[in-house]
Amino acid sequence: MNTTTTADPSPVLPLIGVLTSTLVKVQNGFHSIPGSPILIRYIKSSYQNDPYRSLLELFLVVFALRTIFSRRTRGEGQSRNFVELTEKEIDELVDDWQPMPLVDGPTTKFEHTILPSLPVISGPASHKPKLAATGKTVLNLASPNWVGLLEDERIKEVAIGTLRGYGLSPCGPPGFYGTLDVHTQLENDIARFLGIDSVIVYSQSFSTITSVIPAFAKRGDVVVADKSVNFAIQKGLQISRCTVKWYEHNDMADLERQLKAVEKEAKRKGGPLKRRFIVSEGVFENNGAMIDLAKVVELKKKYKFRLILDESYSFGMVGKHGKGVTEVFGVPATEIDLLVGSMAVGLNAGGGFCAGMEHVTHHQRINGAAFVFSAAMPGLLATTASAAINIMQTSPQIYSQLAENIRTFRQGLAKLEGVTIYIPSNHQSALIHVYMLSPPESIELEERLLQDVVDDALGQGVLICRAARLRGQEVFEPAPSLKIMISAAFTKKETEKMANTVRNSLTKVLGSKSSVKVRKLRRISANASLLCKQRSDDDRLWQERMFSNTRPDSGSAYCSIPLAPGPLLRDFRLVHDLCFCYLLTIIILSVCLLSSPGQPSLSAADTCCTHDDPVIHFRRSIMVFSWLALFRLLFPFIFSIQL
Amino acid sequence: MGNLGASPMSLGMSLGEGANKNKGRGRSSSLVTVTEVGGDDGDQVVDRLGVGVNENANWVNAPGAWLIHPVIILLGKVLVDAIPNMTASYSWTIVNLGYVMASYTMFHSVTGVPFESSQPSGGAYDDLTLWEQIDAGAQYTPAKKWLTSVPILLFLISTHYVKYDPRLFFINFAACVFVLFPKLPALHRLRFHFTPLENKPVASNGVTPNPSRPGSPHPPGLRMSTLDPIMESRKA
Repeated sequence: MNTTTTADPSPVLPLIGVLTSTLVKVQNGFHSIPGSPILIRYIKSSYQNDPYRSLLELFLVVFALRTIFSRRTRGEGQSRNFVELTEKEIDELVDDWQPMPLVDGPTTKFEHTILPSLPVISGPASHKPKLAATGKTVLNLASPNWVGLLEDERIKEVAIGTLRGYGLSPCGPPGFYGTLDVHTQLENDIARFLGIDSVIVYSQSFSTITSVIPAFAKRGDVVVADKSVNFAIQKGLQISRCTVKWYEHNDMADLERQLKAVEKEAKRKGGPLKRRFIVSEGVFENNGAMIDLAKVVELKKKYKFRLILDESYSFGMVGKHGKGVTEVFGVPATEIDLLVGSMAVGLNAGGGFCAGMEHVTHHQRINGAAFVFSAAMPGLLATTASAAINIMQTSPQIYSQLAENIRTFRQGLAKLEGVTIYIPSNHQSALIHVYMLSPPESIELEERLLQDVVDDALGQGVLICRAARLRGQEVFEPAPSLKIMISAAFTKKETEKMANTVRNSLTKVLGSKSSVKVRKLRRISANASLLCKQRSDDDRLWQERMFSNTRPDSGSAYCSIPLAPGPLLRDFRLVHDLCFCYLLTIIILSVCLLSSPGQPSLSAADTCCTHDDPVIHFRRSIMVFSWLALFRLLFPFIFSIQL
Repeated sequence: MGNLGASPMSLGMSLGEGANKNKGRGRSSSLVTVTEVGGDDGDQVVDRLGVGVNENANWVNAPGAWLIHPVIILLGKVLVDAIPNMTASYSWTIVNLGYVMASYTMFHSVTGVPFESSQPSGGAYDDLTLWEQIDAGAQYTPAKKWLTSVPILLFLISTHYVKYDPRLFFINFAACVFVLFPKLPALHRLRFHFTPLENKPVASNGVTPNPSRPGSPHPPGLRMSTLDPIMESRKA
């Protein structure tokens, strides 16, 4: 060491000198900062001969500094790709914009081929319209006209009278100068007809259910829906952003499974109760099947769900007076929480309605989007709907005629059923869907074959149609089908003739016998249905296993959920919890106060014992806990009185 | 098809099994399960951003909201000191614990927007805490830096006045870490469940497990393209 310093002293000594002087300068500089003595004192006193604790503190300081010097990250909607445009650039872009046509016209080759052959009617729509091309009168099975009011003279007179009295239509929405006395009259008429508390009338049939669902179901709420529900319901569910669980079409066992799953899930998660709905249709627009209403109502009561029932097609079609599936099953309409129907289908007028309790319809008058934002419907549609209800009430023989026509028509097709075609529609349903039993590989080919049936029947003087679907937009793609709508306006003879015509056309296009392929497929399908059953059993077992850990707690607070979404309940919980925290703090403080030495004794027990006596401590903690329990019990009560 | 019925809790992973985003029958055997809330699908993001500025979380950026933290801490200290026989170490501990408790409740416990009716976000904030709503979820923003620093500073001060009594030091330190933990950017929108979520595959999807069957009632199994069993039995 000596040798190195003596040998080469020059580079080290000045370096040490520089370092020392720098250190002194830094020290001076640090001492000249105001507040530095405090920091030094703090660090000195915090060390306390305990390096681990100081390390923890240092770690926290480093964490704070790291946080402070980190760079800001991007939040939602502050993407890297976001380009801010100037006003001028925005104007330029707006000027440059060329609108595209809203509709491109027929896009597929199939649409191109059928477009020229689509029939055009001259004159008013009726059960026997006149074709524009040939002037021939055809029998119309393509319009919903269950009661035969499409060309009824009484309805026509009422419409003309209203048109003279009220003009065509109010131009405002119902809440803004749009409501006429005839609208209110119609609401009362439907309510009385169904035997239900209150009704709200919407001006368009499709948008009724589409806006009723989102008026009640919100994000986080649960809807259990049938897989075959119509397009309007699907859109309503989508808009509402609620959680949708699908059950197999009309499968009550699967429905119960889903309801159970929802209940278990809610119990497991805890938290505020969610609104829960079952959504289904009376007579399904997609296939004419009928809901098992009695069972659904039973399940909804058992699992505490509300039922939204779309009776767009069944209202005015089934039941002794056409009141819909509630009349068929003998279930009072008041059991249905939200009964949605249509005046456009069954009453041959226009618009839709939602029936329910007074506060259910009242809620929709400001929360039903289609009611608030769309113009009220023309007065003449309201009066014709009222007149139609009047006719339905006074002449039940229409419905026996309709039932007979349906029976006759189904008998006419019975020979083909199970051979080349398949009809899932209910035997009471005037809406009949005919499916092919052995469909070709592609959906387009199937549509083409059905279109051939339609064309052939039209050639023989019967107007039927294919069911129109929006391919690619449905949640579960429905198979192509023929849509046939029976009317009471036809005589039995005419119905027989139409059934024969349709049967002949079907035979001509699809053949009369089930092909070898179909027979083979049928055999396989027997196996397949076995397999399916096995699989669903498997699923059920699995789900039961999954949900086996139940917790026994709250369930029956069903009535206390507010129907209209509101923050009241959440606020209440927040206030309640905060108050509870505050109380806890006060009690802890008072315990500290009581147990601190030198404090005069407050309870009689203290006078004879010292503070360290474990018995006293035990008694005190018991007291504190009992106070806590009491307040925990009392708080909701106090707040419920205030609210 | 996917959008309809997408639920807020869309992503599930279990710590015990690694990132096992199972949709099938995998069952979680771990004690702690982590789920992410407030999904990033289009509907949710549009609803959150569609209302413009989130008034529920925006106030934290105001200067008064920064100042109120030291003011409330000082006020709390004065109030606690007013209790007779209160020593400095206990009063600082109580103030620290009180601040931690209040800020935890406010920023990390209560979720959603209390005045949903005046801010029509359609429940898109329902699962998010106030901390997660601040600055639209951006991290290391000035407000978040300030809110992270305050409890650390308060801890350093209180532990100093506690005279480094090991027991109280531990309590204060634990409280500080407790309130810093949910502020970590890595834990943004994550929730810890200490009971196994056994029915997760059903619950998290929102839709029933097997939605591939067609809605229209063909006689079961006649469309070859949609039903596997037929193909299988054919091969056999």
